[in-house]
Amino acid sequence: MLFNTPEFFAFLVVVLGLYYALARRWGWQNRMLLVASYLFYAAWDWRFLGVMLFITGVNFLAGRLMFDSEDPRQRKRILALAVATNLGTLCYFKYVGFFAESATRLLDRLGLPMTFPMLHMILPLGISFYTFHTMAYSIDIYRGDFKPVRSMRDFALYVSYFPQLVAGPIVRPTYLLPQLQAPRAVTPEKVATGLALILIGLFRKVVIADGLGLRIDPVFRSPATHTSPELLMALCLFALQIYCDFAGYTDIARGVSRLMGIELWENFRQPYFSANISEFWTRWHISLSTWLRDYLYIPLGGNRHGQLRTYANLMITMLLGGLWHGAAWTFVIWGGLHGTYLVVYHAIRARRGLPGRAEAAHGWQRLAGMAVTFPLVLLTWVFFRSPGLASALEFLRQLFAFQGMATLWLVLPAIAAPWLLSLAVDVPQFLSGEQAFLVRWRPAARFATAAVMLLLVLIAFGARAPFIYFQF
Amino acid sequence: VPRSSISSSEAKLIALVRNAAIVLALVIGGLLGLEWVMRQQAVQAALPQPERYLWHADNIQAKLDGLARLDQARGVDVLFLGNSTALSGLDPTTFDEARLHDTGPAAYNGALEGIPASAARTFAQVYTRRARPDMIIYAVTPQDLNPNSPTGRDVADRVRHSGMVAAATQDDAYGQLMHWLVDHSALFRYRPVLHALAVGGGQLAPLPGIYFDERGWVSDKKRLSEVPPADRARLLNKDGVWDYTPIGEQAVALAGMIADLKQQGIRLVLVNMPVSEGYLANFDHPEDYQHYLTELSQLSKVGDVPLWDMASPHEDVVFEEADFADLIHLNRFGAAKLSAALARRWQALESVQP
Repeated sequence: MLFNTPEFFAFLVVVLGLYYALARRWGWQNRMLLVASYLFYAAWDWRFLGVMLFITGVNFLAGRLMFDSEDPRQRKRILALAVATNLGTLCYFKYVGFFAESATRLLDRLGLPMTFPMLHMILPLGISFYTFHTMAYSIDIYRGDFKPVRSMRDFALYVSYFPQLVAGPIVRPTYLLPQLQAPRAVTPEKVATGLALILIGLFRKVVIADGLGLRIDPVFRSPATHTSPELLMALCLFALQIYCDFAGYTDIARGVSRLMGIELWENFRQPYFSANISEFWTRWHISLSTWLRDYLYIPLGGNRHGQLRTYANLMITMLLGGLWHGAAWTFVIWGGLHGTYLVVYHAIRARRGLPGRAEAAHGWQRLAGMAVTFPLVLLTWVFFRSPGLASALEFLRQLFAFQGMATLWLVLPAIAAPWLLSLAVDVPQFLSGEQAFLVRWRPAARFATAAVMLLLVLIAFGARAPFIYFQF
Repeated sequence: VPRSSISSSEAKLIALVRNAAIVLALVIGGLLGLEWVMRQQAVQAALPQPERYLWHADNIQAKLDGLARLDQARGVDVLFLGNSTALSGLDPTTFDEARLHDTGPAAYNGALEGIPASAARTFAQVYTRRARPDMIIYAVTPQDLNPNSPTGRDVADRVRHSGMVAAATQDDAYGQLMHWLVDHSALFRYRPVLHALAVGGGQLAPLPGIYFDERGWVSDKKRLSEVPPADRARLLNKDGVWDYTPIGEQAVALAGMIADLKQQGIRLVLVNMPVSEGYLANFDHPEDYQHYLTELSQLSKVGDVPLWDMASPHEDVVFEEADFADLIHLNRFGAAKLSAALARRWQALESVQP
């Protein structure tokens, strides 16, 4: 059940109706939301509910046992078991086939042909997201940052809460669980901003992202048969498509949740307006980057053990962040490139004697920074989107062969039009600092803009393209 | 702690409803205005025909157009149906040559990539409302009957939600609404084109080329026998037979297709498509393929339709590795063998028809 389908909106109307009918009983609201979330998940594939229930049970139990235990070694053992269960489940479904295939190829090249059993697993929807939810819960309890929840119902809802279940944002237990364990207020302001977020999300997903596949897919499928301007167009459009697809999903998720009075984390803040690569990672997939920072980079030592260790920690974090996106070397390289950018950026700052954290850039400084940062990010998308390493390298070779540059002007309108549509939303959001910016506008401008956006959504509705991040 | 309720200040709530009503009124006005614009002859003349953009996949309209052209020129007496294995494995030209149908009614390949039995049933209805073959030869593979195949489910879902499919096949309220919209609303028909133009800066992206011939067949030149053993593992594709069972909604859909066509007076033949030896490695349990054969055989018996099992050894045709492009798709050499073999069986069947 995708967010951009009539079925989802029918489902949402029923859920909201029941939710509002149970207005004075938040416990029953939670029960209803839990059932609705499981139904939402089962609509994709009910058999994988078992995996989610297993992960939920293990982490709930681990949380209780860690909290009750006085023995630090026992607490550590329980945490290790919980983390191993989460990562083991994730690896089993996501990475076993990848590592088996990689090992087979490596041994074959070394002249030691050996066949591992090839496992072609179907990836349970949202597993990368909900295992990160549960790991954060167990680690926070181990660290003493959070007390375990007493109610299995509330914890199960935290794991399975349908707006954020399949593609995040990866909301921390410290943020979401307190909201699930108390009455929620649904105010007209929340409803208005929630509806605005849903409209903006649908606009990004249905109007922009879903309209770009026809231009992107054929080029990435066979880069060798396209000119450099066509490759540039496909690359620029993919950068926009993945942003609008994922940010659109997050907008809808946050909007839907806000209709129930529950706040979810912001996941994107105009990442392509970043003045440097470090800022990019504070604006792109914020919930993942902060998760990796808090549960991987800092435990590795962060920046506390000298420059070299800091750089090594950055690289490890970004490489694993890349691998999180998918079981393929192209994702590892994508993460590695971002890690390299971050290392170089921090090395330059250290050399100039500047503090680790950059000041916010304004005016021409921001524009100059964007002019450097955006092409660097653009380059990494080649690896993210290409079906394989050979294909990515072929893409880059063709791109920098500068063949057929005389036709560059022909592809410019196709690049500019969707970017302008996106900027029509991003610029007001960036300038106002408000994602649901429409509600702050004067009535005439607000009504006209909302009507035009809704009209465009209705015209574009029906492509039924799945959200790109569902596959991760 | 605020109570969980929507009751805030009543005035704000009224303002919210009023604002939503204004936006909806503007949207309805916009839709009506755009409908008027799209009805203008000059506007329609300036835009490409919208049909190709309306189906669940880009080349459906080309398939339908090909069928219509052949039907008009020679008449279509045999229609092949199935997924990509049928698309590359059944060559109508060879089939016609082998059954000495050089002129007169011809065969057409209506196979579409990825369609499971439920979508094949739907497209059997779409095709037979446009042409009237005497016989449909449905090429079946294990994945067609597996209700657990993610790709099969995705394609079936897309087909089910295609407005054009609903308009062309469904007689319920939704189908009638879609039919009405396709017939009466220029905006509804042209909206995918308008969307593509809006995000393309006034340019339309080139749609994928038509890669099948005028008879709907794809000629595949690859040879499985030339793939080094070390690379064979990459050809495995578990998706279609994942968590395999031949029982469920797809088997029900095939039974429904048998009943539909019987009602229409169109003969149906089921063909179990040949598979390479390595294909069986896709299954978690080797006996699953046997379960599939048993179910297919059962469906054929219950529905009283012939089943030609081309995966079993036959005296007149043997499929070798060189006949396959990969583990399950026949290449053009394999297609020639299979099509000729099917023509012989067709002739045998015709000779015993009353």
